[in-house]
Amino acid sequence: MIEKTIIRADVFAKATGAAQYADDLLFDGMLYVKTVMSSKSHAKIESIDTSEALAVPGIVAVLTAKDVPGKLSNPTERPILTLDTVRYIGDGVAIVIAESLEAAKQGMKKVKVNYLELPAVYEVEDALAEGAPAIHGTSNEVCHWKVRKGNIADGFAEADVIVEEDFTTQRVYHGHMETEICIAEPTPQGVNIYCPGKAPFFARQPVADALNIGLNQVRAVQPVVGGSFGAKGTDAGIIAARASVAAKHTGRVCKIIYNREESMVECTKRHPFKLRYKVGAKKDGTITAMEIYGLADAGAYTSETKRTTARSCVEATGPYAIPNVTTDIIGVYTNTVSNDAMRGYGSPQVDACSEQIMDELAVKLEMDPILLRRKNGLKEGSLSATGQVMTGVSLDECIDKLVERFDWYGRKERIAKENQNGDKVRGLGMACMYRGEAMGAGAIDTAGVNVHVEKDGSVKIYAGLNEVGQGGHAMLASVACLVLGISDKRISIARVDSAYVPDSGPTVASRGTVLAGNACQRAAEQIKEKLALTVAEAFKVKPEDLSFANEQIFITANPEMSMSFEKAVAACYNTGQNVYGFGWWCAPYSWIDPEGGSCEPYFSYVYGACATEVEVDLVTGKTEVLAFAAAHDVGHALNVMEVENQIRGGVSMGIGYALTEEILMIDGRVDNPNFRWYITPTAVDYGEIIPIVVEMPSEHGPLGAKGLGEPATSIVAPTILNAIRDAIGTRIYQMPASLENVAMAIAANKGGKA
Amino acid sequence: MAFKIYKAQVLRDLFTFMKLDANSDVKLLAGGTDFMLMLENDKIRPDLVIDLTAVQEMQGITVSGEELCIGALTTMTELVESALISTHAPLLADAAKSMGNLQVRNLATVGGNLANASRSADVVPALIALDAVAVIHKDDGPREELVEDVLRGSRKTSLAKNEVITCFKLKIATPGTGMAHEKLGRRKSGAISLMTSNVVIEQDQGKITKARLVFGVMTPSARRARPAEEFLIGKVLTEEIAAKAAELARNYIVEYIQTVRPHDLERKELGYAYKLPVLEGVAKRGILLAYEKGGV
Repeated sequence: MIEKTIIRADVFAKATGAAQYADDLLFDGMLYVKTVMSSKSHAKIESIDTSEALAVPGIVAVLTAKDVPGKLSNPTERPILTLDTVRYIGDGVAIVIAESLEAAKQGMKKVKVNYLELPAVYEVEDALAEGAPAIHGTSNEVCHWKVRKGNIADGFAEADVIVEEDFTTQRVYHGHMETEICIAEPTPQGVNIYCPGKAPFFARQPVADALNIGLNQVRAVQPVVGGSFGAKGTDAGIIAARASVAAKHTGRVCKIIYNREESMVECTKRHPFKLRYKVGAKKDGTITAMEIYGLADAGAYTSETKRTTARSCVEATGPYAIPNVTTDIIGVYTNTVSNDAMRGYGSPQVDACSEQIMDELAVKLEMDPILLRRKNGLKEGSLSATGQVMTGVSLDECIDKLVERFDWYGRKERIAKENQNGDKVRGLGMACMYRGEAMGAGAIDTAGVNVHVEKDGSVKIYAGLNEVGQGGHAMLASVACLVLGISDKRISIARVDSAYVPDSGPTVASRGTVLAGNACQRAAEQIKEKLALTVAEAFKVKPEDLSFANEQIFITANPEMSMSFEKAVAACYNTGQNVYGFGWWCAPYSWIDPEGGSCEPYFSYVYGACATEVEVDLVTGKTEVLAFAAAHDVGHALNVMEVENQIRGGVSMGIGYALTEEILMIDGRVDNPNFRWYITPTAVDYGEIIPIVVEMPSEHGPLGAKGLGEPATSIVAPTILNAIRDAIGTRIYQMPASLENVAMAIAANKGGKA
Repeated sequence: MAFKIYKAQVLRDLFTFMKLDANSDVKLLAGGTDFMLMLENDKIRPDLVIDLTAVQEMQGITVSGEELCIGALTTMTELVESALISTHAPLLADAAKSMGNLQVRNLATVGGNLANASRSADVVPALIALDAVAVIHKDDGPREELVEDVLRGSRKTSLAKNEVITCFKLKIATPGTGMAHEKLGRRKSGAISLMTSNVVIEQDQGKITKARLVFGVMTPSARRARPAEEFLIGKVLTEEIAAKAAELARNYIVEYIQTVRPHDLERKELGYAYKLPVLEGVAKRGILLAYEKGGV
């Protein structure tokens, strides 16, 4: 019997403080690097005077874009350092290298940059207006994705009711505890980078580009990573390139560590969206048409905007089979901090709105919101908005389990009784989701994993999949254990080091379990095959007659005839064979049509449903999440504890998105670059979180498993917003549902139920 | 950022140290939770820091007769956990519990909360609502001043350079006294107060005999909303009376701000557009709750 819950190998070191994060690494003669950031939203750099900075004791060098030997960036991408134009407050202008962090700080303040200010634009509508200053090229449009299905005019003509609403989602920050950091160590040919991040192999590219060297000269070694949530991708690459340029220039080890303010000012965020939803339905609740128009703020550079908004466009309707759909999602440059990947990657913004418009439709139809969703929800064989035939649809299973475990209807009754009077009112809300698995159209999504069984039967797994706190390494161990029928005590996972491990792709897109898990399964199966051949020969049976379980390899029909795993390994080595496996897995082909024709943008989808009970203080506008239930189809829970805790973490993050978190901008400047004024909920801020594990095996994932990282947070916000609507009788159209926004809505509605 | 640090064991040490370096910029260190941030952000650059944490005379919570005495070095956690405080001045325990997070509460002191004179101080408004007196020492002996009077605006106090708060004195709650505290913050732990409500109501056979209402953060220094207090005296509380008193409290605060800092009401970052209506609701329920608690 294999344990369904493996205790992660990294947690003890993390809990006791023994874990070595990048900031714990010390090198002889290490130098410190500080970035001089633009103080202007949009400006030409006239000149940079470094003389005063160089006079500060301890300063070794001040470098600008002109000192970078190789490429600064691809066109429209954020450069390592800006050459002649800054496009947002926070753009890197120069780096100051010093013997101490204190000296670097002093030097940074003494670098004088003369700017010629250019007109700047901060809002997406302004950026698209005629005559707006172009941030790149001639237009501020980054991309325009379309979905076209059926005939939208006919769809609305058939409708008995039509609901149309505008929504705004805010810019938020990942809140990773460990800020961006890189230590670069020069080598004779290249550089070693200690740069914690979600994509160690990708981070080498900007380094190689900046130094004009081959990827094989950039060795990426991962220290323990202190959180990612989608951060430490683009930013890690840029910081790694700066540290590497500094290291090659000085010939010494160079370290960049961001403080919280630098991280919040310069580094990427979640795209804020402005969305208009229009939905038409018949009296019985059948949706006939949905029209969606959205503007996504890309910030000053392209970064991940194209692929993020492609996902938004594909998933914009929510998990419903709607015959007539028109969706337009447009990415727009503004002179603000650039937006990129953050847990959910374009899903949470559209999910927030599709699930709120569904609730408004339910109100208008005077229909149970769950019934409305069941009626229109995707079923096996339904056609998605992009015309894809949906298979493995588990939406109804998720809703069933949710309704039962959360006691939706029982709670509804109880709340109706209790909500008589007083300053505080309660409400219930729910939401549903579907989400494309892995990177999807436009990416060649692959992973490699090596599994080596040593001569003593211990197992080492070599994978580029990074452990950023999500439990990816424990997942690899689980897969190998399940395939080989062995205990996880045999397994250790190699440190992620590009010199030794194969590239498993980045820790993004909830792809780790599916992509790297599949590669690991294949590697383990190669080993199984080798061992089976050896044992079959010994027992004079066929390999397919054998089973692997409980650390034994035995004849399925006669379990008495067995050989221990260790003996089998030794026997296999004795034949001159190795007991290694190399697994490689490539995601099935997927494609997208930017003009809206039929396409299959993801090879598979996951489903989920959430519900919550909230209490709103009618006096202050404060919302308290009393209980939150989240049902997610994970295909096969490889590690139940990890699954449940990932759901809890995702809910916690989503509560922040719903209620408190917002990067406030004033004329392109981040106004709250600290955790004093950027409010992330803590463990005492919400009541019980009820994780509900649904297991409908995937035809693609390893042992039927599906990804969970992003789904866990995707629909938390609309669930809460719908509950607030239920409690106070009016909707919050502008996220977050902060004290002010809720109080304003209550005042406008004169309190009480509508 | 270099400075000398001396550690005082008894109060006398403090004044000795101050005289040794008469011309230097001296800062006193108690819990350090604000001090360290100011140091980190270059807001202060002291030459000499005198560590008070060991000073005997400034520790401990005692009751003698009708008087509760709280040493200035008492931490928030000690206030929360003290049986004397929760019996005789529960408002103070509630206010202390609402401050910062556990790590901060383990260090932050009640004396520091007043000396720092932050607009968003959590326990100072509770001290004022409890009519507390600060005992302030200098070389030649102590003086006493109402906590409300020590405050002279945001980050301003009556404390002279050579003075230190050593303890707080307040009357223990008499039967028929009810207290209610509420903090408005953006989360439960580690949040800066947006508003605090501190209500103390004494009653005799249903009639209010004394009332003290203090709404922290609303004004640069916390003040008692006296017009509302006076209105309540002699009344048997009803919903309508509580609402009227809350309205008076709000009006008082508006008038007070208009007198001391007239432009504040328009400053968006101070959030009065949101806070003033909320204040009325929070004040009303605080008055009702305190009255209910005091009823026998």
